Amino acid sequence: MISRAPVSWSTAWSAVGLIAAIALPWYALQEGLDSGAWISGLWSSEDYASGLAQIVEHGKWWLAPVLLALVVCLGAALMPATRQRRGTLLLIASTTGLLLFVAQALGISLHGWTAGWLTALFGELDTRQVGLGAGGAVVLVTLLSLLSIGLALRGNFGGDAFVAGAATTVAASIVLFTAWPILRILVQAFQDGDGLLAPALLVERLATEKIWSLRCLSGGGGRCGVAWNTLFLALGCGAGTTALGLAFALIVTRTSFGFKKTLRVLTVLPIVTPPFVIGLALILVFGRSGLVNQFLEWSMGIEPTRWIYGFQGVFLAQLLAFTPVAFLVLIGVVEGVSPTLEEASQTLRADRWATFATVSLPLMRPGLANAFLVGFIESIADFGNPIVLGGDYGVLSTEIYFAVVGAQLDYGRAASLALLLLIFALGAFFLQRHIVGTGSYATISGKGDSGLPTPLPDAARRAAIWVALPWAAFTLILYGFAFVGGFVKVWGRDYTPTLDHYAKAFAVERAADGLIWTGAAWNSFWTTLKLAAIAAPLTAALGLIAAWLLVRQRFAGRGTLEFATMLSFAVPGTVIGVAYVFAFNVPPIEITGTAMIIVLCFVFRNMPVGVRAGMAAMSQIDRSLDEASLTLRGRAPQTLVYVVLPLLRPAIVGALVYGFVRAVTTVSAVVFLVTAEYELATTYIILRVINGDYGLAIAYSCALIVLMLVVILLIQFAVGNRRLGRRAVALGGGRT
Amino acid sequence: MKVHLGILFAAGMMGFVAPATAQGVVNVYCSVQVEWCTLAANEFQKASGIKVSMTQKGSGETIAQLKAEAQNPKGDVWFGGTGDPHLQAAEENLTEPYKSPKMAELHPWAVKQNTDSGGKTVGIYAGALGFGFNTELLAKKNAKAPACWADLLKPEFKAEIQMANPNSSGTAYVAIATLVQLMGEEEAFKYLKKMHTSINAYTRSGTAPMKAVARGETMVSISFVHDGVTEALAGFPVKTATPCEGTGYEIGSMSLIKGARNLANAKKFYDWALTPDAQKLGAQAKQFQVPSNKATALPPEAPKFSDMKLIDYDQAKYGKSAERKRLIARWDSEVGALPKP
Amino acid sequence: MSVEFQNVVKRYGRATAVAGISFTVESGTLVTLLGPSGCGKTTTLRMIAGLELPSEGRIAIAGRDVTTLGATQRDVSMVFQSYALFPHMNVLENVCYGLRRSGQSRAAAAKHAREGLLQVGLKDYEERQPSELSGGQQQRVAVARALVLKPSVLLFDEPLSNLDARLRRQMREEIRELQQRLGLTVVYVTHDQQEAMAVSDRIIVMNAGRIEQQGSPRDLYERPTTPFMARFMGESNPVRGTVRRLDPEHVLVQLGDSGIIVADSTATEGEGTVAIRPEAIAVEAAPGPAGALAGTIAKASYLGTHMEYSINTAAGDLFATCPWVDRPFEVGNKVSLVLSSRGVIVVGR
Repeated sequence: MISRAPVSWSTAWSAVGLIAAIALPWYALQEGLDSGAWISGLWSSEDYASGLAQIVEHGKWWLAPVLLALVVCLGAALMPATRQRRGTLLLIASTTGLLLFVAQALGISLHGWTAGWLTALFGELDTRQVGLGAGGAVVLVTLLSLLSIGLALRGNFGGDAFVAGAATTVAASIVLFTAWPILRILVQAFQDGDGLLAPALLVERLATEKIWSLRCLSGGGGRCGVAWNTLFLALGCGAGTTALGLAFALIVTRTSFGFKKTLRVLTVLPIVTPPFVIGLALILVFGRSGLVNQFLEWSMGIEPTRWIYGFQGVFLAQLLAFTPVAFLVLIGVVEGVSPTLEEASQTLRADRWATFATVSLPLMRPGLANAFLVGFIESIADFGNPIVLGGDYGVLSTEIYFAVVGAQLDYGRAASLALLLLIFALGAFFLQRHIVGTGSYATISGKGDSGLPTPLPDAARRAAIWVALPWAAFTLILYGFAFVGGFVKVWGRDYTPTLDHYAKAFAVERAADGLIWTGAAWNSFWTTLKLAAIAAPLTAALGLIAAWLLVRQRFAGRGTLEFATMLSFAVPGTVIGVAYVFAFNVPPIEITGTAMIIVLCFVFRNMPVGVRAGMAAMSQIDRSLDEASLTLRGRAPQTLVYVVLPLLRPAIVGALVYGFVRAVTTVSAVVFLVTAEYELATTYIILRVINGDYGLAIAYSCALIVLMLVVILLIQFAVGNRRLGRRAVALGGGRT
Repeated sequence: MKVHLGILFAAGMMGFVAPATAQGVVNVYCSVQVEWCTLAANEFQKASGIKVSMTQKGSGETIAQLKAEAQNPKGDVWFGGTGDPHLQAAEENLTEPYKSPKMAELHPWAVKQNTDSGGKTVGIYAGALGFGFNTELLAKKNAKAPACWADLLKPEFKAEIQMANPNSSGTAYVAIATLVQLMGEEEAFKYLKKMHTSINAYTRSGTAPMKAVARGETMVSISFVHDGVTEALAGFPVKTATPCEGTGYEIGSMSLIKGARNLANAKKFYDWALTPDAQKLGAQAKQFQVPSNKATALPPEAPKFSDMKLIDYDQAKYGKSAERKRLIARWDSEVGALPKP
Repeated sequence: MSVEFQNVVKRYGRATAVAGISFTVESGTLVTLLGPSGCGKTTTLRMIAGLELPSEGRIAIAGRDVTTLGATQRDVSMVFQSYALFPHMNVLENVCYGLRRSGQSRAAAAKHAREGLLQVGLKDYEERQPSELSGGQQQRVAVARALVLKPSVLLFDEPLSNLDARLRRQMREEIRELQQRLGLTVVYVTHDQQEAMAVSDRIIVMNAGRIEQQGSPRDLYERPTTPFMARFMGESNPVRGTVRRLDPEHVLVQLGDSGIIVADSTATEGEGTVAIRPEAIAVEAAPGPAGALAGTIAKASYLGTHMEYSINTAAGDLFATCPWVDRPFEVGNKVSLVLSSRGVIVVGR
């Protein structure tokens, strides 16, 4: 009976696919499915017809083999056969179906055949294909599901259809929404202005002084190339954020420091801050006319300088912005270090310091490497801070942005620089893999752990506090300054208190039939909230499932998948944005101008952090816990829900929070995707900043910060802490 | 019973969702300031009954989007933004030629933009290039405000001037092209090399130098003068001047997008945007460029072309991408590559 | 309820962990997979569990082909070396886990789980967290958790390796007792040969991914077929000797001056390796009977129940145990060694 389960799944999926091919419109509708107008035209209208009707009535013969593959799958599902044989049949039929599906989708577009040799081969086509609709999408999903069932029946993925399904889903969605758009734009690096292949151009574009010069090292005012600028900044940012993040994580988990809650909120602040705010606040404090310089000039007659513009300023802003991300990655890892191991070390004549240095720290190595990787990649992809504070310190991301939107409009150059950026990200990725190595770091094991966490050695505690507290104070001052900006007339100039900015953004009027949201910001506010709320759980779910697959399952192509998950993160937002428009403005997937493309962009851009956090946390959970669940009749999805996820709570909170917050604060990636209908808070704020309307921008930003803090608290409350059953003081989680 | 209610409700919802558009829609890509965009959208909707779907983006971003969408355009009209990208779009065949009946009411420079581009774009406003300066900083240093290009080489402005980097900014390119037309190419580059010691940063964005002036981060900027008016109105100690030797200008333009889905409505918007009623909206949104319709009244704050010495800016020659690439490359190797002073 | 392996191979990339093994575990028996670490015994166990799927070959459980089925779809459960108790659940929740996943109601699962805890003697510990239990108690929870599912096959992966010696003996007796009382089919993995002999009906000894020898504990101890087996199953002294066949049932083994007749129907004639069990060497004061091996005591240790001697002889150094502790020999004493034919095994050339 148990063995029949996947078989009946394959029957069900085949049926779903066939029903969709008969009863849903194959192509996308101009007005959307919910209008219902398509029901009457399902057979006769070319726009509304189902897959079957398209073949029979409207001459779209190339869809026939795809549907035929589905019928073969149904046959394979129903006929009596061994698992192995049934699996093989399903695999062959579904793979063929998928290949045919992709071939026809890419081969035939708005203007008939997409390539000359296809026209030559099949003759001129008098009909055309628009974007994929509900019917086509369901058939695609069906074929993928049948493929995974086939693989599972043949014994791949541990014979588990869920694991196979999860792996194919993650892989297919990453291919579709990360690899495909990025590939489309990177191809341009090898093309000249007319779209012809010209690999030599790539060399020409990349082998220039502007990119590789190292003259800044020799002094005398020489400038370094953007590649080196980017690299120096990223290395500094990765190391700096990791160190600061570790200091905060240690203080929160391993000391009796009194203001942990405050500290936690404070570390979260910079992530929930919309872009440009930190940069502007830094200018107001450290700029030439900023507070510090004014004071120095007034008190000591020191000539004000512009030191904040350039490497120093960008570095400072990035540290402020990305330390919390490192903290979120590290906190789970620091919590996860087994107290017993530390106790063991102490009984081996190691004092607290030696224990910390030789046991705790090495055990945190995967976490530290992950935090560094995230900091490094955040830095190279950062756009907002370099643009505000860079002065003429150019980095690759700004260079790419201006190659796309600036006076030159050179996609080839942008693509070449994006390629370079990708290579840096790759380098960091492999370096991280090398550091983590293959050692085992499982510290949450299936044996009850009854140790007490060792307090930090004095020196480390003092160092952590002396690093973290001034930093926290610094952050507070900056935020205080920014906060004030929302309540004064002109920020940095006229400090007359006013509530005008808030009134302009968030006014609500009472009318006869309820409230009228008259404020200028409401529209973008609600859109942002809605889209972020949709994107965050998807981001977290996809990220953690990907992490689970990567850490726990063994299958061919795992390394490739891991790399692919990181891909979209390493490419700067602007490139992603343009790539999405390029890839999804034309059939087969035509979703520009919809809310869906914005959500997809959020999900696939922010997923990598969920993956990293999930992987770091999961590598600390003993694999035998999963296996125990499997041998106890817990199928893979149940194992995930009842065993893995409860132990992963900190990572879940991290992924959800990050998914939400990044969706609210992203700018560069969505600049090309927003429309009047789906305007986002950040794009609205940026326009205000560009317009010099800082008061409103700050007021709106503050409102967003408050909103995000509330959401974070809600998420924390809803997901809760993990119960590890360590002794009470261990985690504060205790038993409930 | 409950089920039936549900079906009724669902049916009602479906009826509700079906869109009703009597006059149709027009999709506008708008590259001027957001208030101006919103005002234009609302006023046109009131005047015509056509629903305007307005997306605000910088001109660089918009042409990037037009290129990306070339196979399947989503927009109908591109309203506003500096002229070069519009000319480039015309050159790359992304826009559609159109001769508006309003053409006769326009200033010659606006019409010239239309003829230069083969009818594919038209001027809707113009803004002159000049200097912005922070009056408080000038007073503190006891310096006289710059009035001519030559003044920028004075010692008191050493490391006090910002201009944008022409690699990324159209404003900076207009400045270079202006100097080339004013002095001849060799002299212009000599001048730029000399001025290099006075520049403290070549910013990436064209509007950044004026904002830096407003916030006291730099004393002088090379910018469009109407941007200075906006900052001054926001309460910052900013004043502007146009160089005594003569100066260039940008022509904010408008184009119809090739393959527009709502071409008829787009043309209606295009004609409306050239009327004095539409053109006075800029000033309402605190933007002080010179409108292209001769009949549009100019607000008192706006810099007036009659007070300036304008060169005969050759948009056709210097708007071509080949010429631009050449000049920028020369600037890059001769000026941009110089070590920081 | 049997487990059947046919030519099963498991490869990880290029490395071969299990190189084609076939065996059968009869219903209601306890079979141990024994071998040095890295021999493939744990991989074999995990293939029974379905945690690893074989690269080649066929696996059947209770007559059903399960080769490509995952762990969940097989009717087996497993006790892990680390116990793998879920740290976020208490004892009762841990034991209930498998029952709930098999579709039992909360109440029914709790009832069965309590019965299971009663069987392992942990009636009053339901509310405890795993971290609040001793090692032995955690072990019992793990056993109860696996047991309550009434699996066709119960698997143990080195279950006693984390316990102290006294507890180890007690737990292995409990496991054996439980298995016999409930008639369970059990596959048990250990590297400890004494533990294997104490609990097993049958032992499968693995070495380098292959089955070295399988049989009852007595078979393996008394009739090891290879030098590896002789060394691995209990202690033995490997020496070189000459074998001469006397009749189809017996051979004469010549060790230096001394010869001994050994029951053996398979050994070939000529020089070969002979294993001598330490307890088969009777140590007597020299001069002993004719044909005895002469030697000198090199080391002597008193172990309470017996003496252990190292003795230099013409055939090599021999290790012997001797139950007489009252008047032990001392280092340097000349002794005479009499071999009992039961402890002399011809293991190959």
